[in-house]
Amino acid sequence: MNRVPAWLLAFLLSWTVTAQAAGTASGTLISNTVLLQCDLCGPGGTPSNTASFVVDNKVNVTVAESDGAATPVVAGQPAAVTRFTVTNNGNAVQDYALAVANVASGASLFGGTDNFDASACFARVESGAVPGFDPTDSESFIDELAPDASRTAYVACSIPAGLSANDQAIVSLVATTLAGTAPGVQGAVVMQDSANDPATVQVVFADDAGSDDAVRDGIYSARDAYRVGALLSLSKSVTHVQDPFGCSAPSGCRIVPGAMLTYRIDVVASGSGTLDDLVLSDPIPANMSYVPGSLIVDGVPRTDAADTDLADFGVSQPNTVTVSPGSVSAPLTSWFSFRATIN
Amino acid sequence: MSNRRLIPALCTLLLASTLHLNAYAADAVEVKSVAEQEVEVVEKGKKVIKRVPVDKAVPGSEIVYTTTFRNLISKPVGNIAITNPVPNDTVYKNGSALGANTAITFSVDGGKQYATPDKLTVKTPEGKTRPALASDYSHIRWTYKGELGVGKSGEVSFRAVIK
Repeated sequence: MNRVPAWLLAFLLSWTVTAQAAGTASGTLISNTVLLQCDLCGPGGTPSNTASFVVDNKVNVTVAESDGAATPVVAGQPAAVTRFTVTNNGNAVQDYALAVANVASGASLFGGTDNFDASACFARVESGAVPGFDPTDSESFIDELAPDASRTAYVACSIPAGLSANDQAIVSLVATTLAGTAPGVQGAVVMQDSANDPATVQVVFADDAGSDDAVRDGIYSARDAYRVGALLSLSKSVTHVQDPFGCSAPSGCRIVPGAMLTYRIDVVASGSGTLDDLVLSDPIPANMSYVPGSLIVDGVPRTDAADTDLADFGVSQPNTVTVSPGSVSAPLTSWFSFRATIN
Repeated sequence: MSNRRLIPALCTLLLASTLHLNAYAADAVEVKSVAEQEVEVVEKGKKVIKRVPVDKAVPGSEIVYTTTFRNLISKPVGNIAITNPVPNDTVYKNGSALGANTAITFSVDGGKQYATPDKLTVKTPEGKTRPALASDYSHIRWTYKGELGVGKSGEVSFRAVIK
């Protein structure tokens, strides 16, 4: 007896499972021939004609926002990223065009209301090379997505300056079904055929209405929100002057060469949320010199070296005081100070 | 042209036409199959269901298969059985087989044995036996009761859903 090779069996099994989940593949020929037997029909009976048709191209795409929550941003953030998943629920390989739209003010999402627009928005497709949004994710359309398969897509937008905590911008990622012609080639937008032809594959829209599109249009969309979480404000002041003439006081001394000034920078993170990768840097002004060992953060002296105390002078950046607290949660108040002399 | 050459040629021609006639004569009953879909259309302000040739067929679409048969000869035809495999990539829709003056049976083993739904069982992967479901059917058979009279015709049908 001839045995079916294990690899073939595995292939057939996996193929069957895929076919069941996605539905019968577009272009499959479904044929039917009836056999009639009777007393006078001969030993083989009488076959009918063969009634056949091809399975059409079911187009059904969905877009889902990834985390069910607003994306925290800060005012002035250059590339705020949100993540979506695009899924092909149809029965043929398709491409998808991605577009980003700002939703009109007044719309609500995740407990917030849209009151500003994000700017310079664009969509990119996860390349799979590095997890998360990064420069390798350079494609703006989804290429050759198989039935039942999903792909991660990102929306990146700039957040304007001058916003308040809890201000919110809602954006919509819109995926439009394209023909899956060939790898690396962006297919044309698919249109629903009106002609009645059982012998050719026709496009049939079967998608639901998304957040910003209609039912059965080959398009699907989903929304995410950018919410201004923590707001950072900085204020810098001279808190003490010691002049060469013996005066040493918060004010009233002379600002002349040889005078030593104490600078204080107050940091306030208001609102809520987290500020990631926070780095505060203050270059020493021209014609002034940093006083070595004068760096203090929240009342605690810090070394000038780049070490575990998260503050340095002249190492992270030349001739600059750098304080790197990293990730901080709002609300937060903090300060740092240093001294510099006038040359 | 000599007669010696002509005779074999004529014989071949005669043989061919005889074969053709024989094949034609074997068709005591004509049998036709159509695959259709039901669509809702508005006619004179009323919604009506119409059957049209298969147009937009996607996974989940329901197809109506209709077989018509007609007695072509000058005497009644008995023992008519119509066998229709459930088409590839489709599943039989439970309870959809119809046929006036016929007994309807089903097969779950590729057409080897036929029985009424209540008597059909299938083996599970664990080796147990369970009642067969409509989705297990591989073939449908309509057995015509009595004889199909001279000039008479009949019709049987079922519905299948594209997987």
